[in-house]
Parts: sequence; C-alpha cells; structure tokens
Amino acid sequence: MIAQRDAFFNSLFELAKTDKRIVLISADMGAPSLDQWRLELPHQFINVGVAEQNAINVATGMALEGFLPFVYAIAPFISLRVVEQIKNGPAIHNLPVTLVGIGAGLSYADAGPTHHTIEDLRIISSIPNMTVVTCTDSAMAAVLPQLALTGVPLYIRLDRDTKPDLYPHITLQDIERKYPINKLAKDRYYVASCGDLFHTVHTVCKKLEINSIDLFRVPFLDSLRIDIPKSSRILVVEEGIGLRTALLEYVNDEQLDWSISGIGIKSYVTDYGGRKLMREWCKLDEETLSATIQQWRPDANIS
Amino acid sequence: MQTYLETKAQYVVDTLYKMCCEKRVGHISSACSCVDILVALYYGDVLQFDPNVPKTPNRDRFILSKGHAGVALYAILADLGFFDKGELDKFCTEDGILGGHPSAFIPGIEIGTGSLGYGLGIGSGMALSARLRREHWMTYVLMSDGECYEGSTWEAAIFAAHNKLNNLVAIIDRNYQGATDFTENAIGLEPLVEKWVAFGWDVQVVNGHDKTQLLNVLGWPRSRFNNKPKMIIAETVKGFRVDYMCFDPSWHARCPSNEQR
Repeated sequence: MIAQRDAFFNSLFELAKTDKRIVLISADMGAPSLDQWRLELPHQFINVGVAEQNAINVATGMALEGFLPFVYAIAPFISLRVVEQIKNGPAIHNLPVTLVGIGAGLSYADAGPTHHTIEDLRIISSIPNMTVVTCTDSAMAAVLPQLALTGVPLYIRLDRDTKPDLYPHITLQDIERKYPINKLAKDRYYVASCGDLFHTVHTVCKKLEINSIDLFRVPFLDSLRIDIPKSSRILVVEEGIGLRTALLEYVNDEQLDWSISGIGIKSYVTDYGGRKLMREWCKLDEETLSATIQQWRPDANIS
Repeated sequence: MQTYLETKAQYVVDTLYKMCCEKRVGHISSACSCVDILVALYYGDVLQFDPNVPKTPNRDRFILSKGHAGVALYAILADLGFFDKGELDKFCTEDGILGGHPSAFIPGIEIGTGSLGYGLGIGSGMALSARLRREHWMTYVLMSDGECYEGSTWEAAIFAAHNKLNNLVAIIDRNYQGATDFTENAIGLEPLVEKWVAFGWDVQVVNGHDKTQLLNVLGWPRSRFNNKPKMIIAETVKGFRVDYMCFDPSWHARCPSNEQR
C-alpha cells in the first residue's frame, strides 16, 4: 500500500515532468516521494522555509505569472495559519493555487492539538472560491493533481494513515461529477463522512446494511441533491467540525427537507495514546459508531 | 524633467485630494507621502509599461503594497491612459471601477491590495517567475514603513535574498508615521537600514521628495550589478504638499471638513 501523500506526489511528479508550469512550494516539508523530484526537477521545487504566509504569497505571485503552484505543509499550518493569505491571494483573484495539507483530522495524533486539524474544513470552506477536498484513499490522491490542473483554488486534506483503496478505479470525471454512495438499503437513511474516517463508516454501514456516502468535497456538487432523495435523514460523522455545518448550510440554501444530525470533535484532544484511542474518546471508533448508528436508525440489522 | 515631474506630482495631489474630499473616503496623507515616488516611477522612464496593452508580457510589474495610497496611483494610471479619466469622478461609486483600495480588475493593477505585508511576498513570486522563464522585466514593490511591522514582510525578505532576486526592487515610503502615532513612538522600527542590510538586501536611502535622487536610485537596480534584491528607503513626509496634514498622525484616514479645505 502506498501512502496518500506519496500517491499524490508521484502522480504530480509525472505531470510536472512535462508541464513546466507546475511548481512545488514546500514550507520545509519533505516526503520520500519528493526526493526524486528535487533531483530531477530542481527548478520546480521551491523550499520557502518555515514561512507559510510567504509560501502562499509567493504562490500567488507565481500563479499570476501563469505557474501552477502547489503549496505543501502540515495541514493546520497551510490552512488556519494562513487564512488571510488564502483569502487575499488565491481566493479573491481565483488563482490556480493548490494547498496540500498533510495530516487531516487527528492524523498527527501524538504530536498534540497544535498538529491536529479539526477546524480547517469549516474555516477554509467558508472562504468563497475555495474548494476543499478531503482525500479518502491513495487512488483518489493519485487523481487529485489532475483536479488542480483544472485551474481552481484548492485545499487538499491528505491523511497520514494508509488504508486499502476504496476506489481503485476512480477517475477525474468521478471526482468532478458525484459522491460515492453505497446504497445498501432501500430507505432514506444515509451516514455521511469523509477522509480516513469514511473507511470506518463504510465498514460499519456495510455490516448494518445502511447507506453511506463519502462527502469528499465542499462546496457540494450539484449531484448531491439529485442522488439523495427527498425527506432523507443524514447522520454526519467526521473527525473534526465542518462537514455537518457545510451540509446544514447546503440544505438551507437549496431548501431541502433532509434531516441532519451529526457526531464530530468539538473540543481539543490534549491527551496522548494514539489515534485509535483518541477516536474512542471522541466516540468515533468502530464499536461506538456502530452503536450510535444503530441508535440513530433503530431497525438497522446486524448481518 | 524636474519641472515636468513636479507638474505631474502637483496634478496627482490635486486630483487625489479632490477625489477623497468629494467622497469623504481615502487616505490623503498616506497617498501624498508617496506621490513623488510614484511620479518618478511612472513619468521618469523607470517602469516599462504600455497603457494600451496593460498586460503586455514584457512590462515591469508594479505592486502598490500600501494599497491605501491607491488614489495616487489611480490619478497616474488615468492620466497615462490605462483607463478613462472619467473614472476618477466615479471613485467609490457603483458606476466606477476604482475603490478605496486597488483591485486587480483595474487596468494597470497587477494584484488587489489593502491588507498590509503582502506586496513583498507576491512580488518575490513574480520576480522568481521571471527568473525561471529567463525574462528580463523587473518587479517593483512600493511598501509603507508600517509594513515592516508585519512578519510576512520579513519572511519575504529572507526568501528574496536567499533566492538572489536582483530583479526585485522594494521601496519603503518611510514617512515615520503609522495610523495612530509616529512609528518610533509606537514600536520603533530603527535601525531600519541595518535590518535590511542584515537580511541580505542592497539598501539605498534617499530623500523621497527629491526627484533627482529618486531617478538616480530607481533605475539603478536594472543593471543587476550584483545578486542582491534592492531596497530603497525613501524618507518622506506624510501629507506632503498638504501642509496642515504634515507631522500630525491624526490625518491618517481623515478627510478635512469644508472649512479646512
């Protein structure tokens, strides 16, 4: 299995070999997959040091000159720390700058709350023109560079953990068109999630024969209101805060009659012991989720 | 040349003063302190540009990092024919394109500014782009001295020096005033020259209202005589040519009453 990050950069590297507009701006972050890049394409690799504000500003300047900058850092530092740089550069001017944040949610578990990213989805998706993508698996990560080349400002949330691919055959068209839905029941109950946690949701829902949907990108695609029927009940499960907020806003804007509830992380996790344990504390582990989902839809079957 | 530049400078001050007073918005004193710098850049054959083709690829890039001085730049861009002079009368109205801070939708403006501490980083990105493509245009960034309080300015300062961006020229409008007080009373910026030298920049200090001095230093970096980015610290008076505004920080964002005009 390949990590999301390496799948992403390997794929970007292949594009960058022939597309000289692609530059990688790193805020002093490396990756095994970047070593070859630095050797072969030194002029397309820019290390700005631990200076995230400048990373975004340099990316803005280069995007204005026709480059396609990818700015790479640990997720909280390339999102929360630089909110205004994102707004005043790529967002206001609608520039093709892609922010690549590694460590969505509690990825950096024992690094502590400074490195957890539970607020970024909510904050960055509140910036007009920004699209936020939470990567589900490495197959998706390998396709995401192509999405960046479509010329929109993007924030990509990569997870540090690697799970078997859920979407081995995913294409750019899939990513641009619709959300993956596992329709296992005929009713109108759906559990929504994204990122690494979606793997757990997927497993639980499969056992319980409940529908699940991977809301990997915000703002939501038009397909969402078509694919989820009227009067549906949606339970949002997220390793952070933001997906449920976005969905509530969508329901309100589109005047839909869906009923939304959710479980997420509303306070900082300040103790240590690994992501698995942290998810238990946050009631996001498989066992607790399974119980919660059954409670939410009492007639769920355990097969 | 000196008389010509002085005529243009007076035109710019008269124009921006009228625009701000009529609409009761804008930063008159901050705009006035950099008028001579802008006039030297645009009328002194320093910047290379084409008003008929604002995005002509070989133009020099200019970023007004102190976006609150936009009114001064508007007067110049209109005079040079980047857009219709009638736009100046429509300043901050729904029919016009000119707002309190410049936006990238105005011909002749590279990037919208208004929040401080952006110009040097974005300008560094542009200068690096020129370098990577082996293009010869220069990037000029006009900053306020207040922007030296922003951490992002110093992040960019390190970056530009490390990358030997000798195609980048920054000008600090050193008027010694912030929005509420004199800089050295608020939080001292001195010794400013030593700071920039220590960060690896080539620094020149000039009288920011002396056209001869300005023309001498503004063209100087184009020869690229070494590998350092260039910093011109232009000593200015905030509110220059509007006597009652000089040396009084309270005029930062104020418009005069009818009696004061």
